Amino acid sequence: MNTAPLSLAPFVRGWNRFFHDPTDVRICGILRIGYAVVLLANVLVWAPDLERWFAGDGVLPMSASRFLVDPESRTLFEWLPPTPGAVWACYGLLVLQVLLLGLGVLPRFQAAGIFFWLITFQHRNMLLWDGQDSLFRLFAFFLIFLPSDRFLSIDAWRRRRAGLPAKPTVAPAFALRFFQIQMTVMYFAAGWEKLSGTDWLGGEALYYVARLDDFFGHYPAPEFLFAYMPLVRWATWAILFGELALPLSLWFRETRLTAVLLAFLFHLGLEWTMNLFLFPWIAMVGLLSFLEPGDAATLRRALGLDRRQPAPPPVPSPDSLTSEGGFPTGS
Amino acid sequence: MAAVRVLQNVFIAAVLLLMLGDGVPVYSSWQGALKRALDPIADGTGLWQGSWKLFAPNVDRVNVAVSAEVFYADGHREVWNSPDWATLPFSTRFTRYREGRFIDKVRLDTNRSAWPGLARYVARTHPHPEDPGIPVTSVRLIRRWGETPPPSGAEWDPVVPLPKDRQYQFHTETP
Repeated sequence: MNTAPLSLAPFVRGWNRFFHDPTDVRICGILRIGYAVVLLANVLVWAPDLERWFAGDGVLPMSASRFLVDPESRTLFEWLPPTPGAVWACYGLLVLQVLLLGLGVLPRFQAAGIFFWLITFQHRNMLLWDGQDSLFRLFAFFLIFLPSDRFLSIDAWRRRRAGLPAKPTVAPAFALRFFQIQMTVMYFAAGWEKLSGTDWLGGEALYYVARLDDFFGHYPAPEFLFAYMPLVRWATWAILFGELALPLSLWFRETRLTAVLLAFLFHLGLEWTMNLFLFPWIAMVGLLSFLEPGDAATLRRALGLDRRQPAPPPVPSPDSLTSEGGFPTGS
Repeated sequence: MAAVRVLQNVFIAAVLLLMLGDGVPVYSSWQGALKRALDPIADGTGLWQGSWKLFAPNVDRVNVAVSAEVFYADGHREVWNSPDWATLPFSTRFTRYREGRFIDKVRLDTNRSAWPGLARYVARTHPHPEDPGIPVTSVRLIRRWGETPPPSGAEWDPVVPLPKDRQYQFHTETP
């Protein structure tokens, strides 16, 4: 009798297929550039208040800031002199690395540096941040392991110019899964947390949101959207439903593209009506990880802009793959 | 190659454990225990998730501001107010977004360790308007807020600015 009828083999095969199957990594280059542009906008806004937020004689002395974080949350500023010069030096390096990341110069190295600098600044003054800053920090970490240097990068251009063969644009990219899972966790957590209150289930959440003077208001929006209560209720429930549906619908072949497009519309709606700083934009950068090369053609066909028959999906040949996948190889 | 793949998979599993353990809302005691166990690792590595509770479980009912009263040795008094967001253009609200988050958090009792530093900063940046040599004797920090009433029950409930008509002095600092 077989006393252990279960096998781990299918799980291992599924795991390897999920994380290590080759994919078109051109999207990684686009994602890298999108991230760098949004992050650059983020950090440039810090500049006028840099000393106020982070220097020793700013609003939060280092000794006080240590009481606001867990002891494990370290920052380089603990070991640097508490001077404006030190803050500006760190900030300058951060901006430089963001620029170089966007240009695609040693992007893994730049991402590692950005991750370090974001930890350094965020742990220095924890009273400045919200969920979008977690995305900025975590995406920097994921970019360390993403083969984002093969498309739209100076590194790829330099290889071509030196006569070296281009790196394959179909390769394993397990870090792309990190982006996808992170976005899923975010939508799931946001939706789930809303279920434990009364505002969202009762349909009154947007009534209260529209009366928050720091978050609400951006471009002109018709007043009835937030004053006509039947509409407010339906909009509240639609957002709740959307946040609960996205974590699933982003993962199914049949619903993925529709879910991405609806999520884009949702974030553009947030951008139009609210002041959430760069949250809608960094979330849309994260959603890019769910896009595939054929999506643009699918959209053109759906919109009636392209009447050609769809081409069969490309099958990567084994010799076009990198041997070490997306693991860091020093660039 | 097999060793590299194993290392990659161990790394992926570790990142996933942190991501899911720290990011998924806690709904059971074992999950809470896991989150607490992972917390030092997430903090130390910088891979902590933070909260995804924006506008949840319920939306904030209050609009808040912070003021500071600065008293000088000659009896003069100056008042500093945090921005009145409802009156500012979007470009200013965008560029001062961090200030909004700071004000929103610094007023909370859980962040009381930040209050002396904030008060001293206000004192340093607000010298006596006529004679900067006159020292500041004390700074009072005041939180002001207005509460959004529940919907009136009518079909049409207009969005109108609400006054911050309540206040509480939460800290006094003598520099």
